[in-house]
Amino acid sequence: MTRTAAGTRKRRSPRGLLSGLFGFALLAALSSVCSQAQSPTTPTFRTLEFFVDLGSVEAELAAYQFEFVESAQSAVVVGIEAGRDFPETPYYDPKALRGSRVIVAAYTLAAESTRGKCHVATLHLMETSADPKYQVDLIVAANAEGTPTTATISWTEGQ
Amino acid sequence: MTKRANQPSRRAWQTLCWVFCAIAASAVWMGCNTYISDGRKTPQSAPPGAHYLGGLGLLAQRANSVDARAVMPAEELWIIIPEPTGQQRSDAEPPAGSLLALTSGHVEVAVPLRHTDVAASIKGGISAVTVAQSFHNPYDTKIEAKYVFPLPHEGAVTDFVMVIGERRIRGLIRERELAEQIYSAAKHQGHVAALMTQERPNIFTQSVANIEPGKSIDVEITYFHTLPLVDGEFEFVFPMVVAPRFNPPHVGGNGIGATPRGQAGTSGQRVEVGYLGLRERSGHDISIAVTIEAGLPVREVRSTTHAIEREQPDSGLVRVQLRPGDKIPNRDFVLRYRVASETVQPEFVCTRDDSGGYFQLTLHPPHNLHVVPRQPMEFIFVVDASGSMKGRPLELAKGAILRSLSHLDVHDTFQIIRFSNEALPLTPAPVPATVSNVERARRYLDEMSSAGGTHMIHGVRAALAGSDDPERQRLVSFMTDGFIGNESEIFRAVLQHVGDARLFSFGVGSSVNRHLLAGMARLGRGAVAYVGLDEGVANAVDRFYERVARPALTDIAIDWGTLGVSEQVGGAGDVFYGRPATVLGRFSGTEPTTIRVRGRQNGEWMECTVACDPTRASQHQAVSQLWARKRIQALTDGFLRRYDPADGAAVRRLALEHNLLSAYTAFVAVDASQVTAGREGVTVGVPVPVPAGMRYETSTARPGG
Repeated sequence: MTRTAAGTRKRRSPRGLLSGLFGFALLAALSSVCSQAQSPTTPTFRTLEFFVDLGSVEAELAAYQFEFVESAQSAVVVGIEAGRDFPETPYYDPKALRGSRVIVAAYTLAAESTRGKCHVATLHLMETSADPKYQVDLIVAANAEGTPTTATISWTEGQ
Repeated sequence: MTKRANQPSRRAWQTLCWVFCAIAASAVWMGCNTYISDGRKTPQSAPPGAHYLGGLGLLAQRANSVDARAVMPAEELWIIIPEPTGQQRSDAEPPAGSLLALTSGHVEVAVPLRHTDVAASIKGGISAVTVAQSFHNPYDTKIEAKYVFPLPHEGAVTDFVMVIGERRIRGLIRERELAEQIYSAAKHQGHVAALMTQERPNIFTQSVANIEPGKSIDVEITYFHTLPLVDGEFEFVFPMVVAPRFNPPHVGGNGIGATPRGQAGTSGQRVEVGYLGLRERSGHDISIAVTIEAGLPVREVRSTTHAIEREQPDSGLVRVQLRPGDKIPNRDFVLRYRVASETVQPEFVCTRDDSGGYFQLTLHPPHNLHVVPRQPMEFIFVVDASGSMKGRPLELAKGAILRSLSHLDVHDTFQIIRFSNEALPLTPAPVPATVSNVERARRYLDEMSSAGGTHMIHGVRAALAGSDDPERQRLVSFMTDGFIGNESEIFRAVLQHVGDARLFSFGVGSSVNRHLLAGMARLGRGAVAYVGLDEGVANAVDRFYERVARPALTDIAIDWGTLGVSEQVGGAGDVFYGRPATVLGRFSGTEPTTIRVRGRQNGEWMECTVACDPTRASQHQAVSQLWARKRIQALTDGFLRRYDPADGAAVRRLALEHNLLSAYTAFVAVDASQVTAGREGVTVGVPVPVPAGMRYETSTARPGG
């Protein structure tokens, strides 16, 4: 109900009231959508686990180095952790560090080096799009004598 | 169908109205929620009982004993009500079952930092220091811990590991903006994360997000540092607390704020430190262990600040640790030692990596820097008489001046300038050091008391105002704790006004701002000495006069032979008796060569040679990072004259390539493997004790004043 200039009451039609409310709701919804659109894409966090496979249980792993690249520029490494089978916390090469590229390495002086397929490292990542493109290359794997050994590297989604 | 039947009933309209209202309300709520989750905060209101005193920009709480009307214009002041029972709980702290416990007359305040463990290994005058900070959540809700803490101003912070239980997650160096974005996103999504940023070269902030109730998270930092060799003694210093700083009103929010515990956001500064109250202690304690491997017999190991335990399994190996009873982190830890050597040789230490070679050369002053009749001096003593100097620090400063005056003769002139809110000279111009003038100075010092803010800029300008005395070498000596938040402004003023004068300063107190004092000495082509609260000033002053009695080796030029040196930093200044110079740089040569160092003493050229074989020299991997840290310092000094974006980019690049924390870079670590339960936690600062020797009622009430 609204009051006219003459002081008489004028009944607002239900259609008008509905239109007003609809407009308000539309504006509010648009405001919400706009405010969400203004904020950057919400990043997500995940981990990737990296495995060095020596191919044979006889071969041992005392050191490794690999390069990890996310080629779509939609992820950055935010933490580096040792794998379950290689307890040394890996280092990274700061000179090679770019937003989505990192060279990771570790070595161990442990008497019993790791053998077989080893979970060597876990990378913690922040992804800014749903379609990152990951690539990993093993630069070197070596035994306790420092001799390079034949090996492959693979990764899986973190547990 | 009738016309009436085509229209909705009144009940239907009402239902529709409610539906639209619900949609609108939820949409508005979603918008608000998005706004908050972007990390923007609503302004924090003043704490209960706080009153803003208009016009002076003051924030004062209801004071029982301090008269807020005594405040000078432009003086930053807040007044703390002493907490008689300690039962007043901070608004910023989440509720918990047993936060406070009364022990030996002190209220023990639970804080989210339980322990700091420092392990230092010193080899060849370079220390590698690991600092482990153990954060713990004693509250019953999730928290983010924030800790503002000091490290040596020339330390190169190069490694950062977040430890969660048995898991160790190495953090990465990133551009500061990116690191802050990563940390913020992780925090809002419930991931445990840690971020370390640099606020000053000697002040850092550690933030640890999403610490669940009862849980602990450690952060391990590693830094390297070249120990200064002062009057034949190596000096290892670990600062433990950031003292309250005075921020002149014109610095805006770029200073370092000080607040009472639990009143974060009330200082008006972006970075602020909370201080424990008069009878409060936190459970945070510290342990320090230092191992010295000198390669030569180590002797005269002593700490001038703490009780230590030491063992020396052999002559070249010493292990030192803090006595268990001396574990309150409220003053610098200073450890000094000598290395037995008949002749002090220049030391060349290097390292090589894919990008080339890096070296550090320490040049000792020639042994034949004999005592010569010194040039008459015009000595300007500048005394910090602000509130923070009250008590023992001001007494030490006065003692140092009187001792200095006893070294002067009638050919010298002197001036004493005291500064706090303004600078006041003893006399309109420097006066000869006659008996009567020295007596006048003594009376002036006797009457001098401390109060007010640390407006050091007035002291710098007054002291460095042009001298028209061509017969005398002007020496300017600042005696201060350096508790200010506008260091860059002071550095700029020194550069602009120093002219031919030299700055030889004394840092006085238990937690001196060494970044400021050392920077002033560097830019003022002088040196700095520190006097702790438990030390006498006589030795420091006498050593100082030994230094100025022997003319410096000036105009130093270095012929590097075939070493192929580039991007040299340091060594451009003068070498003083008892103060070796350290030069760092890059090199490409691989052949043995001879380095020739030339300098002038009293107008005569002197030369010394250093045999150098880069393939057989001592190796230390940290040299590249120490070089980068010094290079960043040199570039940053250049910003004081003119900011060049190219130099800014160079600092950024250097810091990233050498894994260095800097003003432009930060370390960040995130545990992406799991999300903590519940909503985003409350941010809780780590309150720290007021430094030893500072008075809580005055100095803390006038932050750094």
